[in-house]
This record gives sequence, C-alpha cells and structure tokens, in this order.
Amino acid sequence: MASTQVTNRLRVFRFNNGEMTQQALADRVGLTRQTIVAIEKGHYAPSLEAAFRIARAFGAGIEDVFGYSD
Amino acid sequence: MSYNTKVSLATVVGLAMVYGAYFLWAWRPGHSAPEIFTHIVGAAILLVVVMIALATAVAVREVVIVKSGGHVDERDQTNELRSARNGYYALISLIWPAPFVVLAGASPVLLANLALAVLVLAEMVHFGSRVVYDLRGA
Repeated sequence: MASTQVTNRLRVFRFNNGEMTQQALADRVGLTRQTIVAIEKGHYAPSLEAAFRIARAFGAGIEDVFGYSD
Repeated sequence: MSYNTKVSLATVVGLAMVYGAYFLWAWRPGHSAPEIFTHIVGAAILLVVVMIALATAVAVREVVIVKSGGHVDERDQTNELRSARNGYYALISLIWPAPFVVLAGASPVLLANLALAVLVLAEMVHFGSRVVYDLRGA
C-alpha cells in the first residue's frame, strides 16, 4: 500500500461532528467515499483545494485537520 | 470498490475474454487472410456486446448518483491520467518492433495480429493499472 507524509485527523473530526459518515463528508466536499477512505488511511494526499474544502466542511483550519510529517 | 473501478475491472475481463479467445484461435496455423479479417471484425463486435452486458451488470448493481456539486473527484482523475499514461507507455514500447517485423518479411496477417495484440495489451495495462491504483488508494 502506498502511503503519504501528509497526516490527517479526519476520523477525529468526523467523530466530533456527530459521527459524520465518510459518504456524508464526501458529498459535502465533492469527492467520492473511496477518496475519503484513501485520505483517512493516509494512502492519498489530497490537493490543496480538496484539503481546504474538507477543513471548511468541519469549520476548522486546514492545519487543524492536516499535518505533514518529515 | 467504486463504480469506475468496477467498470475498469469489467473492461479488463471483457478484453481478456474476447481477445483471449480470438488469439487462441489465431495462434493455430492455417487461417486465410479473409478468415482472420472476419474474426477481427467479429471480435470487435463481440467486445462491444460483452462490454455493454458487463457495464449494464455493473450499473444495475450500483446506483450511480452524481452528488459532486460540480467537482470532479480528483483522485479518479489522477488515477485515470496515470493509468492512461501506463497504457501509452505499453503501446509505444511494444509497437516499435513493427517496422522490423515488416522488414523481416512477415505476412500482413501476422502483422495485423501483432498490431491488434499490442493494442489489446496496451488497453489491458491501461484499465488494469486503473484498478490497481483505485484499490491501493494511490
């Protein structure tokens, strides 16, 4: 499995937003559920635009949701 | 598995079924050029029929609802571009011996079959790598 150095707290943010489902998040940000799964597992690094859309869907800043591990 | 992944997988299966059967037939010696031509056209028509059947089967099992709100899924797009590039690489790396085959005096039938095999392999690389990229999360 490929992995990325971009880390994320999607699971935590989904939990804190009323256990938002991956499908619900995907619908809100215009991605597929499979892409949300790949991002959440750290297998896919989203584009900056998608990362902003995801962060805004949670009402958070991009660096609250995403990080980068050297 | 997403709808696009299933369609790609169906394409690989369809190509393998139809052209696998065709090349098994064509591999045996003694076919005339008109026979080969008829079978190539027949295989192309059969592929269309098989692909319609497989795509319909996938679509019936999958309720496709467009909810993207104007956005195209970026991972789908990236995976498609990467797998199309792989198919192109397969095509250009497999097709270059064609002039040498002609110079070696190969029959037009052999040349036609080789060209067809290269196209089929390139498409299988294209859709096969799409399935792999989709499933591994890249």
